[in-house]
Parts: sequence; structure tokens; C-alpha cells
Amino acid sequence: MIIQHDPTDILIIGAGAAGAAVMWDLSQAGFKVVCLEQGSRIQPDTYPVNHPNWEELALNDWNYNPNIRKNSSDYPINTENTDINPLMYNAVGGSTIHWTAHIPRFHPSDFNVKSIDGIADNWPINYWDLEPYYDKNDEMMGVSGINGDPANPKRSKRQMPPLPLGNDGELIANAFDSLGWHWWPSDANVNSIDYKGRKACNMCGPLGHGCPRQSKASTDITYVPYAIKNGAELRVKARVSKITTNNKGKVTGALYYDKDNNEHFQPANGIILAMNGIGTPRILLNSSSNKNPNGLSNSSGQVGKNLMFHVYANAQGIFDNIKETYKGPLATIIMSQEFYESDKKRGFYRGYTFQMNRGMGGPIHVSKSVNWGKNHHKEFENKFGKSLGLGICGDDLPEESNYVELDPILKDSNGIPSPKIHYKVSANSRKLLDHGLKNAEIVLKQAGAKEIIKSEHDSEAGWHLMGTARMGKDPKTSVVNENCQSHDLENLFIVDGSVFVTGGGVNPTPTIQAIALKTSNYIIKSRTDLKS
Amino acid sequence: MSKNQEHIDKSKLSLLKKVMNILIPEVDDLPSAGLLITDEKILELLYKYNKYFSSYNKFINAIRLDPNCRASGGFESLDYENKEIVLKELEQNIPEIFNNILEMTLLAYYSNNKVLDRINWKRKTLQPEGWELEKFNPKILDKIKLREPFWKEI
Ligand SMILES: Cc1cc2nc3c(=O)[nH]c(=O)nc-3n(C[C@H](O)[C@H](O)[C@H](O)COP(=O)(O)OP(=O)(O)OC[C@H]3O[C@@H](n4cnc5c(N)ncnc54)[C@H](O)[C@@H]3O)c2cc1C
Repeated sequence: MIIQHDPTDILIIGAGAAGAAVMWDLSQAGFKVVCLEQGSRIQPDTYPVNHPNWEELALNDWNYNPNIRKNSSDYPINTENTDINPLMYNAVGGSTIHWTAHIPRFHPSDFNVKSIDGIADNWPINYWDLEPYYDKNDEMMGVSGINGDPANPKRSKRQMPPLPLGNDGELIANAFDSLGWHWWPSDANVNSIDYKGRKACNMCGPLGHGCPRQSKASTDITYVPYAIKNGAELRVKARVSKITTNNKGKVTGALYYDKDNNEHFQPANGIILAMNGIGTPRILLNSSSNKNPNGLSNSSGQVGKNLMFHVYANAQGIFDNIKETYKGPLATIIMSQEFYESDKKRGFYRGYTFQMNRGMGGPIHVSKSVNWGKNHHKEFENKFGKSLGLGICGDDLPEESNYVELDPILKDSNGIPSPKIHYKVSANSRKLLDHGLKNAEIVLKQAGAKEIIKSEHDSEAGWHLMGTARMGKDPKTSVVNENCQSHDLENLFIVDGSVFVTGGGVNPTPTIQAIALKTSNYIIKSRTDLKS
Repeated sequence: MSKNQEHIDKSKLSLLKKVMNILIPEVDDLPSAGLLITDEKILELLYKYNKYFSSYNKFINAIRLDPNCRASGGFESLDYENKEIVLKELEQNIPEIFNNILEMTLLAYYSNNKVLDRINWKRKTLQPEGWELEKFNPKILDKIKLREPFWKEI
């Protein structure tokens, strides 16, 4: 028997970076909001860094990879045919529980790749359309940073001063300076002073496994509590299997399972999908029916297609003149966008951001990155506390051959088909990464590295899930319009990374959240028909 | 006794420890990993995480079936160089299983107090103390601030 619930104005599916933001915005505008989240609320005292065996926990129960972690809220993902493994966290707060909170914005050029380079597609929106929503999101999440970056348009005043660069960050900054290359302190959703009742960071280091001090912003603590105060209802351990429709071209609600495997139906006037770039196409494809045999909102055939991750490579320098590089947040120090914009002379399209990364965490993480056997101890001593990296986050361009489909065999614990990922690093991406690695080596040498270790491609770098239900003007080639409204179903919206048209050369989350808030603003202003 | 515990016999454990000795050799006054890591620590990790337990059984079987080991009366009878060769082959042929065994070894080794003392790692729990948060030094921006904006207006 299916348990029926009272109708709601807006049903949001997924309480991660995007879902939590729209939950807050719509609930403060008086919409009756229900949010279904397959994971649970995480208690801050369970985060690894509270425990002496934090590295063991980080490699197991808190692993970034859901296929290794295998929590009850995770679903298995078939990764046999992908060069990059998708990473995510499934709980209230979504992948912002795990993220490292480095928050660069897209550049104006990222929205116009087709016009500039004649490849991929232009977005139907531009940077200036999103700017007020970037600012609105910054206010809620709290940004440590400083205005004046010459590589980006001027921004509103940052909420907090930048995080300290430390000796290690200053070493790299000076190296960029002496090469005459751009760098700037990272904008970070990590508090440098107390902000909105959350404490300043105390530099413990591995913020990617949750921050018990709440210095790192994750949406379970930045948006969700305010949404709940506004009257939004958050139902946890509620895993959606299908979106239902009527014969008037509208969605009507969602079927979901609770923790005891009971099936429920939640009716709604409008539905917002925020299950991320893999979860959203998965549920759209699983919502096929006689009327929509290829899945929901898929008249274009684009649902699941054009999966983008950002290609990633890393060069690590070993230094004699620094120590204790495990102190301080991993990756919110400085970034360089010297090679961000397209330059035909380089032989590839688009560009990349350098992101400085600190040491590899504690001893166990470092030991994993050195060889076993006779040289183990020597290599370990060489590296521990003395290594710094430059990550290359490369623009990823949409290709139909990179896609998510439903696996015909693999299923989650509720019997919902799992996603199967198909992704190959393209020739353009390879050239881009090689260019980045060569330049990273120059910077690290300039900074005095005595040894440089290059990792040409990081297969465990699927942090950014984008492109699988893309935005566009033409219903034949895109899934949603510029308001993130489905072309096929006028009361269905998608607000996560799926709607990205191109990947940009930066971490995507502030852009995901700005798009989400732009969408909720559209609903508030123009869709009063969804309000009961 | 859990289901997993029933399947761990002494000879398998002893073979694993011989492997651990090659993975992390002795250093200064510390013995190699297989001599340093206690049975209790290995069992704790095997019982706690299925990933290690299932790799452990497959790994031990793979060593026992390895032609070099069989030809010379078992892994234990090989000299150091040949032990290393066998492990390198397993690393290539069964990478996921090998990596889980290596990870378990590193976890056990680098959580041993004697090892932590040797590498001078004092901070076992990172919170609540953390480390000191200094102030941002704005002087560092002096040079880059002189650069003209160079983002592309479209
Ligand atoms: C280790 C790591 C580091 C990262 N670092 C950065 C960084 O420094 N900067 C940056 O910009 N980005 C970073 N990211 C990426 C960032 O976390 C994501 O871009 C962002 O969280 C995506 O937001 P989202 O709302 O699209 O999805 P998510 O935040 O992943 O949220 C999706 C939510 O939907 C839920 N869900 C899925 N399916 C269902 C279902 N069927 N029913 C109910 N609920 C469902 C999930 O449980 C999840 O809570 C990082 C990610 C990881 C994993």
C-alpha cells in the first residue's frame, strides 16, 4: 500500500547545495515546501576529525567515493566505463558535507563558449544575470576573501577577510609574482572570523570530511535551519524513485521509499529536482512511462547526455624550506587564472585554474602516496609536511558520448536501477592538462621545490557533476529553459549541476547555487499559480 | 564470534605479516611492519571493514597460488628480492585487492604509537584544538594588485 501525503506547493528533491538554497528562498516567500532527502542529518560530533582514527574513518565510512563508503543512504554506481569516478555525499547538506569550499565564480566568457571558440554551446543566461544571485548566496554561505582580483569582474564586499596564506601559500604567491603570472587569494566558504553564529576556522586541515566547528559552510547549517524556521518540511531517509505526471503535461508528485522500505506518494503543484548531475538524470530516466518511454522531460533525448566532471591533474612539489604543510584548509588558499581564457596558440580550447593544495593530510594519507618497499621510509620523510601541490582544474566540454544511463542489472537497496557512467577524457582535455602540468612545474621550481611529482590524470576527481539535463533555448537540444523550467513539463524545474551547458574551468558550486536562487526567484515572481 | 572471525586462521595471518614486512621494512630501531603490528590490530581492521576482509582472503589465495611461491615451497621460503617480485606482480594483476591490503597495512602501521613518536606526529585528534589561525597579510598583494583587469568582457 502506498502512503499518501497532503499536497504541497513545491516539492524539492535533494537537500544538497542547490536543494537547500531553494528550500530556504521559497519558504521565506510563503510557499508551502516539502523537501525529500535520501540521506539523514549528520551530527557534527561524528565527523572524523573529532576522533583519533580520523584517517581510518576518512578512508572508509567517510570516503568520498560512494562505491567504497557504501552507507545506507548511498546508491551503487556502475563505473566500469569511466575514466573518472563520480564522488558525492548523500545526506542533508549533500556533497557540501565533503566539499573543500573553494568557491571561484564562472567568468563571463564561460557562458559564451560557442561565440568565442565555435565549440559546444552558449548558455541562455550570462554572468550578469547570475551576479545578484552569486551575491545572495555569498551572504548566506559566508565568504572569506578580498575584492580586486584582476582575472574576474569586481565583486561585492566579501563577508570576511581572506584566510591567511601561511608561509606555504606566500611561497607559491611569490613564485607566481616573480613569473609575472596571475594569482589571487581564494574566495572560501570557510570562516576567517566568526560569522552568523559559526566559529572561525582553527586550521585543523582536512575539511573535506566534515567540519565539526561549523567553520566550513555546508548547506545543512547555512540554509536548512533557516528554511525550517520559515516552515519548510524536510523529510529525511526518503528516497525518490519516480516523478509522476498527468495527461495535461504536468508533474503531479513523487513516489518515494522511507527507511523501512514503505512506499509513499507526495503530491505537489510544482517539483524541483536537486539530486545532482547523476541523481537527477537517474530519476528522470527511471520515471519513464508509456507516454514518456525515454524518461521524463526527455523529448530532446538529452537527459543523461553531456556528462562533465572537470578534468584534473596535479603537480606536487617537495620543499626543504617549509614544514607542517598539513596545517590549514587543504585547498582554499590561492588560485591562478593566468591560463583561464582560450588562446588559439596553445592548441586547445578553453583553459584552466591552478588551485594550490596543501600537504596530503596526516601520516596515513601521505604514506599512501609514497612507494611501499625499500624506499618507503626515505620517501615518506621527504614528503611528510613538506609537500605542496598545484591542482589543474580544466574546463570540461559537453560530448554526447559522455553520459549517464540506467544500469540494466545493478540496483540500490530499494530496487531502483543504478546509474551507469560513460566518460572518456577527450583529446582537448589531455592537451589542456599537459599544458597545465608543464606550467605547474615552472611555478613549483620557481618556488624552490627540490622534487616535483606529477599525476597526469586524477581518476578520483569526480567531485563536480554537471551537464546531464542541460539548459538551452531550443527544446530539441536542451532539457530546461533559462529559468531551469522543463521544456516538456511546465511545473518541473531542475536546479543542480545537471543544467550546466559547459563546465567552466572552476569549481561549480557557487554557480549551481546562484542558478538555484535565480530559479526560485523566478518561481516567486512569476509562478504564483503554484502557491495554494 | 562473528561470521568473519571464524574464517581467520593463524597460518593466513602469519603469511599476511610476512607480506607486511616487505611492504614496510624496518627503520632505525623499529622493526618491519609485520613484526610491529599486533594480531589484534589486524583483526580489528578486518572485522570492521568488509573491504579489507574480502581482499584479505582473495589476496592470501592469490599468494598461495602464485607459481613462484608454489615452486619454492611458499612465499615464506623466497628470498627478499623474490618476495618483492611476487608482490609487484600481484600489485599489477590484482590492483584493487593489493591496494586494500596495502592500505590496511599503512593504517595499522601509522597508528602505532612508536611509529608516530618516530615521525614526531603529536596531534592524534585534530579537533577541538586545531592549529593557530593567523591573520591575512595584505602586503603579499602589493605586486598582483598592480595588474590591470584581464578577464574577457563578452
Ligand atoms: C570531496 C569533494 C570536494 C568538493 N570540493 C568542492 C569545492 O571546493 N568547490 C566547489 O565548488 N565544489 C566542490 N565540490 C562539489 C560540490 O560539493 C557539488 O558541486 C555540490 O554539492 C553539488 O550540489 P547539488 O545540489 O547539485 O548536489 P549535492 O550537493 O550532491 O546534493 C544532492 C542531494 O540529493 C540527494 N538525492 C539524490 N538522489 C536522491 C533521491 N533519489 N531521493 C532523495 N534524495 C536524493 C542526495 O542525497 C544529496 O543530498 C566537492 C565535492 C566533493 C565530493
